[in-house]
This record gives sequence, C-alpha cells and structure tokens, in this order.
Amino acid sequence: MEIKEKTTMEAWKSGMKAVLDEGREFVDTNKRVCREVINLKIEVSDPKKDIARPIETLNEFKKWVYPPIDEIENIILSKKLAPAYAYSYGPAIFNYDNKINQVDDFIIPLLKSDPVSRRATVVLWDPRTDSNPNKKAAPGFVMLHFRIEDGRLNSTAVIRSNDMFFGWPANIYQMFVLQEYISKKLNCRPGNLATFSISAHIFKDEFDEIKQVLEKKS
Amino acid sequence: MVYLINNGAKMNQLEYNILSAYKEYPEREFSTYGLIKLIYAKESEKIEADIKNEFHNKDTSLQAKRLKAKFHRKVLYHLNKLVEDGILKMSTEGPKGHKHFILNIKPGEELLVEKRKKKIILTKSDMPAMPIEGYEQRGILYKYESDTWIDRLNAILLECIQFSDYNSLLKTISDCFSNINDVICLNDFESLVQKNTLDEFSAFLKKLSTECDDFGKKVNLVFDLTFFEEDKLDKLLSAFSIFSELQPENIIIILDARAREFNHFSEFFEKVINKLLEKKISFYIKNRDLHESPYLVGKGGPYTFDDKEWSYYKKELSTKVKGIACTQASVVFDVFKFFEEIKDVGEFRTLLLKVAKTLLYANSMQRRKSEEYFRNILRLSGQFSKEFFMFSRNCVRFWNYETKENIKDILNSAKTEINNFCTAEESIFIACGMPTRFKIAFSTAFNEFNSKLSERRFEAMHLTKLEELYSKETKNRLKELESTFNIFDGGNEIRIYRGGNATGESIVKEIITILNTYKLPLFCYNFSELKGADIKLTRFI
Repeated sequence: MEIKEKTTMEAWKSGMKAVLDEGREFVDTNKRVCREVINLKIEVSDPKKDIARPIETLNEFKKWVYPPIDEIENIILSKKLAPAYAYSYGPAIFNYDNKINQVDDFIIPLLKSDPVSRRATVVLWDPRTDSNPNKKAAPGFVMLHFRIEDGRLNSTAVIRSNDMFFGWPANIYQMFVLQEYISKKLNCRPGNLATFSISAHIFKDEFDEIKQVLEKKS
Repeated sequence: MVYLINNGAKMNQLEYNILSAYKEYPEREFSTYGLIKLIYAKESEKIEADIKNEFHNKDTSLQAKRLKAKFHRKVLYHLNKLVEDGILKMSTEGPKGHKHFILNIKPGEELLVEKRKKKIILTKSDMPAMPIEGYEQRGILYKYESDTWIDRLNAILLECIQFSDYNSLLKTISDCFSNINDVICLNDFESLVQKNTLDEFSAFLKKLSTECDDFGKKVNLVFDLTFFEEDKLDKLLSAFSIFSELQPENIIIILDARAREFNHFSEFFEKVINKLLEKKISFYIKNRDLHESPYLVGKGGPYTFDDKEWSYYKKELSTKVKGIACTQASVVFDVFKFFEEIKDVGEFRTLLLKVAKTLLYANSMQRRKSEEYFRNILRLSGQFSKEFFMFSRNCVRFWNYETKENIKDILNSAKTEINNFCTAEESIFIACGMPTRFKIAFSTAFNEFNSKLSERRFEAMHLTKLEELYSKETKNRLKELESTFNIFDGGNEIRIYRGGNATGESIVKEIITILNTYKLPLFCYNFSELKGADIKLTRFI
C-alpha cells in the first residue's frame, strides 16, 4: 500500500486511517490486540512545514507522557549510548560496532563525490546482537537510505515494526533531523521523507484516540 | 532568572578555572581536593605518587605534602571568595573540616560572572514544573531530598564478592556517596569478613562510619547466612563484637537467613544477638524463604528489588558487575493529611497518577543526564554500565496509611492503574526507538523521609516475651500485616520494640517462631525501649 501526502500531519493521519480501515487484526506477543497492514509506504513531500505537529498532537492528550522532543532528536544524533536505553539509533549510525561512522565517513563523502549514487545506505540492524531470540528489544529502523534528486536530499527508512500512532511521529521526526544534518553538510536542500513500514500497526487500546486524531483538521 | 555578578574586580585565572569546573559539571558537589585534582591534574597525580610511594625518602614525601597544602590553601582562598560573592555555597563540612561546595543557583537559573575581561556563564538545567507541586505546598506529598532528587539515586547495591579488600570497597563507597541520597547496600558482606582480618574490618568500620556521618547516608551490611561455614563462625562473631563496640549510627545490619539456619546455629545467633543487645543496637532479619532479593533500609524507608528480576540478575549478571541501582527517585504520600483535607478516594487515585507522571519526568532527566549525574557509579560496571539501571524502580511511599479505612483495597486497585501507566509509557518509548525502563513500586515510609510529615498515627509493636506471639490479638495483627507485603512490593518492614527481660536465647526463639509462622519477609528488632517498655503487644508497621 502506498500513501503520498504533502504534509507530515496528513501523512500520519492517512497512514493510521489505512491501517484502521484495511488492517488485519491479530494478537501480538504481549497479548495486545493489533490491527496491521504489511508493507505500507508513506511519502511526505514537504515535511518541514509541520514535522513536529504529530508529536504536538500526541502531547495534547493528557493521558500519557510522550518523550520530550529534544530526547527524540538526541536518540538519532548522539553517538553515545546512554546507559538507560537498551539500544539507541545514534550509536548505530555514527559509531557502528564502536568503529564506523556511517554518515560522516561514508554517506557524506560518497554523495559529495558521486551525487547520483544509489549506495548511500545506513544499516542499523546488527545481526550479532539483534538477531538473538532472547533479546527483549531490537531496533525498529533497519536501514536508512539517502538519495540526491533535483538538488534535494530525499530519505527513505525501512522500519521493521512500526506503531503508527505512537512510533511514526517520532520516527519521521528522527529521519527529518538526520536528513537536515546530512543536507547541511552536503550543502543541498532537504527533500521528501519516505517510510516503508513492514508491519504498520495500531493497537486496539488506542482506537478511540486515533479516531479523535483523524477527526482533527490538519 | 539571570543573575549578573560584576563587582569591578579582576578575575584571577584560578578563580576562572574553578568556575569552568562548575560550568562543566553544574550539578556536581566538589570538595576542595576534588577541584585541585581537576584543575592541577598532572601535579596532583605526582603529589599522590610522591606521598604514597614508600621508596621515596621522607623529604620527597614531605615536599609533596607541603605542595598539596599549598594548592589546598590557594583553591580554598578562591572558593571562600566565591562563597562571599554568592556564586558558590558550602554544601557539607566534615568533622575534620573538609568542605564541599556547590553552585549557588537553582535549576533553570543562569549566572553571568563578569570581571574585567573574563566572563563565564553558569547554568543549571531547568526542571519542568511537576504536576504535584500544589500538593507539596499543602504538605500532602514530598519528594525525597528534593534538592538532589533528580541528580542522585535513592539506593544502590554493591556486590562485596567483587571486592577483595576493604580499602577498594571504601573508595568505591566514597565515590558513590556523591551520586546517591539515601542508602548503599553492601550485599554478601560476610564474604569480605572471611577474606580479611578483623583489624582491617575494625579500621574499615570506623572510616565508613565517619563517612556515613559526614555525608548523611546510610549503609547496610547484608550478611547472607544461608551458606554457613561452621569453622568461620568465630570470626563472624568477633566482627559483630567489633560492630557493637563501635555502635555506628548510620550502618545497619541485615541478617539474611531462614528458620533453618536459626535452628541449626542457634548458639551462634544467641551470641550475636547478645552482643547487639548489650549496646541496644537494632538489627533486621530478612526471611530468605519468602523473599530472595535483598532488602535495603535507608532514611526514607525500606527498599527492595522485584524477585523475578533478581533471579535473572543473579543468574546472568551478579558475578560480572560491582553494583546496580535499586531505586531512582521517591515521593512520599501522607495518607492521613490527604484524607483529612480532601477525603475523596477518586482524587487520591488521580493524584497517584500525577505522582507517576512526576517520577517519569524525573527519570527522563536522569536518562538524559546520566553521564553527568552518575558518572562515578556507571564506571563501576565497566562494559556492563548499560545494565546498571536494568533492575531499578521508582518508589511511592505511604505514610500513616492505616488511618484510612479500606486503604488496602484502594492501594491495590491504584497499583493496577500505576502498573498499566508504566507499561503504556514503556511501550511509547519503545515505539519511539528509545527502549527504556520505567517501573514504580509502592513502599512504606519512615518519618525520617521528611520532618514535615504528619504525626505518627499508628501504634508501635511491643514484645516482652515469646508467649505474646501466640496471643489472638498478636496473631490477628501479624496476619493483617502479612498482607501489606503484597501491596508494598518496593519495600516494607515490621518493627518490633522488644522490652522486658530480653536475652539472645529468648530472641532467637522468637525469631524462629516468627520465621516459621508468619509471612513477614523483613522485620526489625529494636531495643530502644528495653527498660520500662510497655509489656503489651499491640501493633506496628
């Protein structure tokens, strides 16, 4: 399934609506009832306009506490793994295996020397630690891809398991800050953002809140 | 709020260096020597080496000591000046005159120090407004040590089996004191007693006691007595003798055992208890048959781990790490005060959820600043530093809870709501790509948690002889208290004020009876009322 929208808020709502209307119900490992669409692609052509709007919308609900935006940002940009997290995207991107800075030492030099390259891929899944059936938590982002088209840096993420209500707003924001970081270094404009969610799902516990969001004006 | 300090004076380079240290670590408490080590890193390394190195002649050592004193005077001069200017304030001073200093600004405030050409901006991170502040002002809720409740942990556990001698343990404890605000538990302490001499134990205890008094912390010595080595009992008994002679006020003994050990080694326990009884030193018994994981006893109240998680820790990590966090932050709920003023059960539950959100904010700050706040203790576990918080929880403590009818039912259902909240928050954080732990446990409080808590409204439990344990009144009371251990999964205790003619022999018999009859994972024998105590066994929490 493929969704293309101009703004982040529209894309989020369309994604959730697609899963709500067309998803298949199942019970997950934690015995929670989910609705799921397999292989959902969502593309946002002008994300900058309202990139934080879905997070702000979630913060308007007083029922729970959503992570602070600086912490969401820090997770993808910080090279250090804070001890309180089971895993973190920043160290995987900027310090993979405590050795490889996939962005500064690979993506940026590659796209500088070959702007039409299709090899600008960052991998976040580490089979040595993540392909362990006893591991409780494994990264949602499996890979990120960057491509320059018409002078704009476009980004695509493959997300293994994607909670469309709580997770997607943070994921798209994290992609955005990373895209900004790279585009500044490449001296080009940031372009569109696309997520490819292998399991795009929502939980029955949040159906009421999802419906409230869908009723909101973008 | 921004403050400007500009008194026209010139800023000395050393003064600037001191302020730079506080700029880098705005939350940290520095001792004079801590600053010397930071500012004169190379010199202080050499000084230490010269002082310690036995092969150097006396002159070298004396010279090094003089140089150290010189640096000390210089730094202290500027520290005092900064205190006079209102930039720093003294936080603690030990009996030997060792001073500690902190930045004299509140979180969120900024201080601009400008003297001639030198300018430095000092800030402390801002704390968001917490949704319980109104209740704090009304005296219904209190954070534990509100000044340090974000940048210090309540309670940690150190594994004594990872230390070969007392000196290395003492150094680690000293390092950890700046990162905790209540208690350090020394687990399996008997292993160190067995490995080292009694003189070393005595010296350690004296130093530890002074440190505890200076820094206002508690330390627990947990003796695992389930693996008795009969030939080493004399040494253990001598250690208890030394302990009772010294009577360290802030060091608490917890005997971790089962009824089996008390039966088989009753003579040994009688001797131990006689030693403690002589000096009226309270001690705790933890029933290993009922609760695997250690109990910790601080100023705020008792702490413990989740037993299932503890089994995992024992199996996978306990031999790899030096320590783990037990409790991150605590809030106490004065139940009597709440129902006196508000009376509404619905609001009680709503307020508990607000407490949960407050603890979540606190954890969020701790996560983001963990490297800065907890640097010393994270170093403890080396490559396993990520596992340091793997078993920690936050704590809501309840004070005077028995004053409300049906409180157990109310707390049980509120606990379910709080657990659901924690699970939901963990799911949200996982969904956002930041898998982190957030757990809240319920516990009872001690009145030392906060001096403003309402007056104690429950009766203490007194015991003068074994037979009283068989009275109907006692049986009912203890059975009732048993059930509170299920609610207070984060820590609970029963304190028995022993009066009458107590002997080691009679107390051992009582302990065996309690261990065999009641499901009380932790209880304390207190001898403060030994003379002229009320001989009626009534009630306690």
